[in-house]
Amino acid sequence: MDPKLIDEAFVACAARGVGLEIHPAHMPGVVSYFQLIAGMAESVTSEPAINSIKAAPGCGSPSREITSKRVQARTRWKRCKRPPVRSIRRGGSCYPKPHVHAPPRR
Amino acid sequence: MITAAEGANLHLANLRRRAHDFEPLSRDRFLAGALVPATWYLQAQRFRRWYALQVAELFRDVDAIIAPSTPVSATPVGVDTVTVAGETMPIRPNLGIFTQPISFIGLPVAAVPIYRHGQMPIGVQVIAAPWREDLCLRIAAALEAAGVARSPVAAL
Repeated sequence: MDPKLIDEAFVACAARGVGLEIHPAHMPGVVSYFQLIAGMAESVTSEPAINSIKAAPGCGSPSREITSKRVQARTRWKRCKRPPVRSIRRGGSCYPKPHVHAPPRR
Repeated sequence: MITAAEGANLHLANLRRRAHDFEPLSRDRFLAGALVPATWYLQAQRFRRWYALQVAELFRDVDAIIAPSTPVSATPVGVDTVTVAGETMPIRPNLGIFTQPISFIGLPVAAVPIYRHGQMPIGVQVIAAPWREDLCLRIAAALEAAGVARSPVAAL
């Protein structure tokens, strides 16, 4: 959406749709922010590679699994040169299947 | 866009009842966020995933990335604009311009103040791969031990 198309009438109409009445004194700031957001929307829809991502979940905080002592112990090793041998499911993360290197054998 | 929409949802009841009680800049941002179409929000989340995967690739070759935290050092109280490379810009929306691209994909960061004698410190962020907070803290500790990063308390 072209941010230039967004004006006070547009914002007032959209606000009524979600049950908001925007005070006239607040309107310039809201219009300005919404134009900014519309510009971002334009950016994130214009890159074709982005649409190769099928799911669009948010980034949650680390799950209990990743913060458990068991997993902490597993990741408390020094940098390993070997290829990844194990992955840990981390629900709610941006990183769906990060690989975890096994600790070096002694 | 994501934080504006989520913040608006969190505060929607109060925005309807007493928007005038909010801090003005936050209020305008939340009100705008309440109007974000679902498709924009979802596309922003899709972008976040895509960007996170791009950045994760960087950590195949490096352990950590060091980058500036802010475009300028701390500004005096009451100043609203700053000039960077000849361009004057509002401080508030630009102070997080280097940290937001990192924090919104959940990477661990340690922000360390680089001390400059007689001048305000500058912020540097040590960025590591997902779940490698230990690396951030080790590097930050090394910088502190070397005397590069420190934050002495001012004598009042």
